[in-house]
Amino acid sequence: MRYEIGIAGSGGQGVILMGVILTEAVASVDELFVALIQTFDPAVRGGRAASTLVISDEEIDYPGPLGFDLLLGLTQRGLDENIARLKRGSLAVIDAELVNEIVWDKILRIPFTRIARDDIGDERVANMTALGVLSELCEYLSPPAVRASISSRFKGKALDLNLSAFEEGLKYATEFRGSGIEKVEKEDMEI
Amino acid sequence: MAEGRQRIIHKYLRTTKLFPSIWCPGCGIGIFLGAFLRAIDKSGYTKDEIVLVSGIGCTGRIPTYVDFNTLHTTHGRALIFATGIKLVKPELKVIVVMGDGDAVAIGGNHFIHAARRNVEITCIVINNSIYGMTGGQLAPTTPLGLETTTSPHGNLEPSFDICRLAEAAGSVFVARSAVYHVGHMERLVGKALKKKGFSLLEIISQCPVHYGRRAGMGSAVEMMKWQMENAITEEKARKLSEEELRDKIRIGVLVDKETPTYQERLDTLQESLKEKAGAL
Amino acid sequence: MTNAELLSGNEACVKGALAAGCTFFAGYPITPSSEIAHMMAYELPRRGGIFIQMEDEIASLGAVIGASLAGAKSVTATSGPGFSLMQEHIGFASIAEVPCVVISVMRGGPSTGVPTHPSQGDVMQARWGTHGDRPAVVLAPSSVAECFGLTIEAFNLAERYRTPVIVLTDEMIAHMREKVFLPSSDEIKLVERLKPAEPPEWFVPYRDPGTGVPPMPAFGEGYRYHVTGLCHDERGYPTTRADEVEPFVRRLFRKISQDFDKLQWSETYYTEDSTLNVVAFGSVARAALRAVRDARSKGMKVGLLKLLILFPFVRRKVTQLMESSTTILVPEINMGQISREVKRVNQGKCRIETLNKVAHEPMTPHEILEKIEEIYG
Repeated sequence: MRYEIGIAGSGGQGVILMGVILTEAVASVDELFVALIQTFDPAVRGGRAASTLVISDEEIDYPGPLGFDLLLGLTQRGLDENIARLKRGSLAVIDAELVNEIVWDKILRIPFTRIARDDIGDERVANMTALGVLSELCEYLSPPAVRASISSRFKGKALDLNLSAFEEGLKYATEFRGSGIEKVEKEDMEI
Repeated sequence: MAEGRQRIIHKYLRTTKLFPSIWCPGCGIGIFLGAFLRAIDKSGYTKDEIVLVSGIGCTGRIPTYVDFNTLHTTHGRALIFATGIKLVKPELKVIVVMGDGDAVAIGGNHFIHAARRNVEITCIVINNSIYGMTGGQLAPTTPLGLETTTSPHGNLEPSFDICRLAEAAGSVFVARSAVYHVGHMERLVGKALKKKGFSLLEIISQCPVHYGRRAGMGSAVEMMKWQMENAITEEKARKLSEEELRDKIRIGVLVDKETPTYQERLDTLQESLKEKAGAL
Repeated sequence: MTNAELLSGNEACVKGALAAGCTFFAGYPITPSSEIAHMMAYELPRRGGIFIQMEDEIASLGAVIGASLAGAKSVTATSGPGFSLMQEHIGFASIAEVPCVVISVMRGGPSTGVPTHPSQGDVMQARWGTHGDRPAVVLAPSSVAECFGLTIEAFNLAERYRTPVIVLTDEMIAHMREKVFLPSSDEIKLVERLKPAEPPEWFVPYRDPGTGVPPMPAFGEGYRYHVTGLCHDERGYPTTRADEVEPFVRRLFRKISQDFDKLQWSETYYTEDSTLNVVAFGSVARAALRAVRDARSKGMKVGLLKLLILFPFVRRKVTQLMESSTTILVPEINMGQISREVKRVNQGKCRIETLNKVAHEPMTPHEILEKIEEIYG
């Protein structure tokens, strides 16, 4: 078994932290191996940022991406640069506000940024909402393990805020799973 | 008296295979070495407690001849090796001897940072205003206008004042002497050895071959005479005008202050970390 | 008992150094090695050790050598440009026989290059970077777990041979996080430098005791001796005599070359029946293993030799492999450095193919597989 998750966005969105939290959560499962590769531009804010997780039930030979089983696009550029690596028939999850153009046959549009801003009250925790969604969608991510990993990184009010964003994402994905999946063919796109 | 002094030196010299030394007749380094060893003898440190570190050049060869823990490093880098030694074994007395080019040209960066860091190192710079070993080239201490092998038409670069450089970088003890003033030099070595923190002692010396003969600054005797005539104590210098001080060598203790050493700060840090760990 | 941990390659290097008994780090910040300094700065003072940030990389390795002379196991970490600056003191540690470890994380070069991306461009610098003839010991981890294990071994080799040892990783390995199972401290074997058994008055600091490695007291232990970067005689005093210099330099080589058979550190995969064999190291070895597996699943008889030590080069292992190979493929993210070693060993035995990439990006399994397919025809 080899399962790959790609997370692509820009510096400042918390893409790097998301990668670390998910990797920690997977690592806590006895029978699973995990490798995380992260790339980012020298500019801390606004440059490209990506996390690639490889999950396996045996020792991982190549730790880099071979083909994503799940891709999270948090910016248009992040999605564009990584969609070619998404395996046929796999799901692309995109931020409904930040990514507009996509041609794929399994798409889930979730307004992470809007949920974090309007429902949680802080746009900065959109990444935690996304973690909630990913935890629900990927069978190798257990919500309690992800929750534990988040809890080990924050304290007090910041923890409450991040956890509530996470729970919101989890809830949203549970409701949305299946029903929200759409397909966009090339001819559907307005170019 | 002279015989007794010789005996002190012989207590500290290595006897196997090494002599005659590499230093030319008339060189100031041997005179310094005598004064240095007498000061060490008075200081009470045992040979095992002393680490003598040098870089490259004529001065860099001093550790070869003396019976301490001795380390002859790369050009300009003596202070950084000394830093590593002192941090690991704070109980040892770490002394660095360097030439002027060694200390403030190729080693200039290490020099200012060692002074800033205040790791307890006694740093002695023997300044002959020229590169001796490599053949009389321009040093950062060579006076403006002097003709050397790499400034055959005259030196275009102003020179460094090593003591002021050390002071500006934060050295807690800065002093200068000259090889002509043997007793004075010995006393200042003793003072520098006693100082907690980074101490800098500049020794004005002569290179009769390259600075003297080739650059036309006279014989060893003439150069030492120049030292005698131009050295002026810091106490006297303070009373003189800038005009009167031109071309004079100010000798004596120029800076002597107290600031916590690197080791003291480190001890405090480790103590507080231990307490924190204990509290958990 | 082994413990599962999630670590980056850089963190694993630190853990390895600490497990090896390292108590001194001096360094200068540089991407992509800085995390090693960060973690050392946090960990060492808490354990009574010393961390110091020096003014440059020359100073860093100088302080490390000084610390080692005073008796501490010491290490520095750097990358490309800083590694260039350290060459001066790698030479000093070689001639003065001072144990120390340099962790160098390869990034794209030359010069400032691409600081945040991996490369394997410093292999030959690790071998030949300092002036003068000297033996080099260079280890090359290809995973986070190997970063831990090989850093420990680097200390062991440094102490055993009294020589600088280089751990050459790359940006991908350094920043990658993996779940690893680290051995407990009682499972780790450590080597300590040999101290003189004789009293100080009988001690001759650089006399060959027969093993090629003279015992080494620390400064302050009563054995007052001279250490110099000049060629020296048995007493440590500078010499230019041919009858002293020649045996001295030869001993520096011999102390390591006599153990070549113990230093063939490498791993083979699927080489029982393979005729096309890949020789790879570092992050590229990970891609190569995947490519070899993919090729196997397509029925091609392909194997892999993964190098864990680059120098001394694993001549015997490679020669052995060549006996059963028609072709050797050497993929590298440089213009061909370790492939030169493979060609040197080859002497016409088989065909040597290279695959080079200098985009300063990881080599992918796909790229290696394509090359394998091309060779296979």
